[in-house]
Amino acid sequence: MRGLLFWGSVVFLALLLLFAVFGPQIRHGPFEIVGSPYIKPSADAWLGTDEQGRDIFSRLAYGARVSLLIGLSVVTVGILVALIVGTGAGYGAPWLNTVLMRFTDGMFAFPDILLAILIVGIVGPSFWAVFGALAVIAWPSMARLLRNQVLSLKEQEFVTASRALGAGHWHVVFKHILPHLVGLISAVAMVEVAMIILAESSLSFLGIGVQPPTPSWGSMINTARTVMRSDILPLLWPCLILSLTILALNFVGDGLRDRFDPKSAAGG
Amino acid sequence: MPTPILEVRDAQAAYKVPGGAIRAVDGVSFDLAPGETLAVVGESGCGKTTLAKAILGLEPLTGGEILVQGKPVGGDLSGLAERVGIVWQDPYASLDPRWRVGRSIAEPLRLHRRGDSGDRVDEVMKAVGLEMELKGRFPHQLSGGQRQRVAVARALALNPPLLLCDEPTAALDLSIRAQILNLLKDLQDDLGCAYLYISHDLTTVRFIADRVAVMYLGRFVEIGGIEEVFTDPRHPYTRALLDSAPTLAKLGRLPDVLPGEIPDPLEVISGCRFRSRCPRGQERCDTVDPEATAENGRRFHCHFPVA
Repeated sequence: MRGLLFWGSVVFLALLLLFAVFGPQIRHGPFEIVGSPYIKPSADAWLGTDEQGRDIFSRLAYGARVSLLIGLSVVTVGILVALIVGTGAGYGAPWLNTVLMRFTDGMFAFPDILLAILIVGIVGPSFWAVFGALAVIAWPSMARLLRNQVLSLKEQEFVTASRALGAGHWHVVFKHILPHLVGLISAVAMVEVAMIILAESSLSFLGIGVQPPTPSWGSMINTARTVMRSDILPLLWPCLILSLTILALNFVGDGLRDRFDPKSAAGG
Repeated sequence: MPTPILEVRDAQAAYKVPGGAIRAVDGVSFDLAPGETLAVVGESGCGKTTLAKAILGLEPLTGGEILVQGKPVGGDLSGLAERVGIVWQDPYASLDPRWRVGRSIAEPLRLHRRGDSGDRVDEVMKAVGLEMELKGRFPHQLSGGQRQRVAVARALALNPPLLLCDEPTAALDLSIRAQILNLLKDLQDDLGCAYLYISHDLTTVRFIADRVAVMYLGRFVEIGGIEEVFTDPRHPYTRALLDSAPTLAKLGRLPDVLPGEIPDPLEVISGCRFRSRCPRGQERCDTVDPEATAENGRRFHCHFPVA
């Protein structure tokens, strides 16, 4: 069952990637008006049209592109920051640990999405503002997690043993500590991408995310919300793809955690 | 007498803890000649492992000095590993679980830029009796004995003249224990390296060591030739340790247990540090810390030694 969910989710995410890359070109462009508003799904517009008569299929695909791009790039930057902060705090001198961790704790004082809204509100909505705001909220939880892992790995006897063989600190960190974090990082990254995609959709839903006419799942949900009593389908599609994406990322994250256990990875 | 491979002069190492400092090693002095085996025995927590870490430079000294081949330990550790190797107590914990065996054995060679580490890896694996095909295995795919052989191979890779063994057989089954002990003894005959053998198992110590040091609360209370100390102990603590060791002759009855516990290492004890548990203690022991008494190549700290 676990294996089925994992591989089903991997297939879903692979299809989503293809959808994001090729979807906007298949029939209509995402900005092209193909007919009157709110056409039902048809041979021409597979999922119908939106409030301006644009192809929902194409706009969903473009929204996937936006979501994945923001999710992956924000989490990549977040992991890099978290690795530097977490390794510095976990492996470095006690004073460095105190400085870095108190700063990280300070970041937790702000509720995630409110901090992002504040940042976008100050800078003004744009792709880079959203990217920056989400990167700021992404790193602290990962930094704390990595710091705790590094701290416990540092005390492992194989680290002391390597030091006794004449290994320097860089060797220990890069050869004996960070490789042990790969599984955890990839698992956490998946869950974190899901969180960031959700946060980006929330910002777009509130109208301060990616700006129109660029489509985003969040803004599509927001506009479709106004006509949900007469036509539920334009609301259903973005909600469905958003939920499935979040679920799939979480399942893959869980699966990766199991798969990176050294004992199973070794095939023994 | 040849130049000692290891000289320890009044070594002291203390940990800072809330409420004071634990003096894990508190004034230890001894020499170790090339090719000689000195065993260090004592209860858990007496400072044996801290002493080993201090010799490796992993635990800074708070007093005294340690010289390996005449050079003081401290500062840059990178060269020290070529002179001192160590076999840890638990090979499962001291080998990186993500590293294949061959890579683990080659690690010291790569760290010290010994060219063509492949040949040397084969050489030491052969020396410790490991099959070549185990090179590609992970530690969890080996048996306990094989893992400890890997640990020995790794410690020997740089061919250090001094090898520390921190209870190398404590984590092993009885049947494998003998194999590893024989291996260590054979290796010493072949390579001529000196061993500092840390253990609380008196039987293995008697088998492998030339001299023995009995450690109590951070200090060597008695040090001397293995036969002399085992057959004719002078310090009451040595006597108690020997009495509490299970032997075949004493099978079926509980060993004579030393009364009391090791005192809190945070406390600074006046007089003799063993007095709280000593059956021979007298008034003088409460106030005066006994000086070392030297007697036919042996040394002990006691006002009223066992006859």
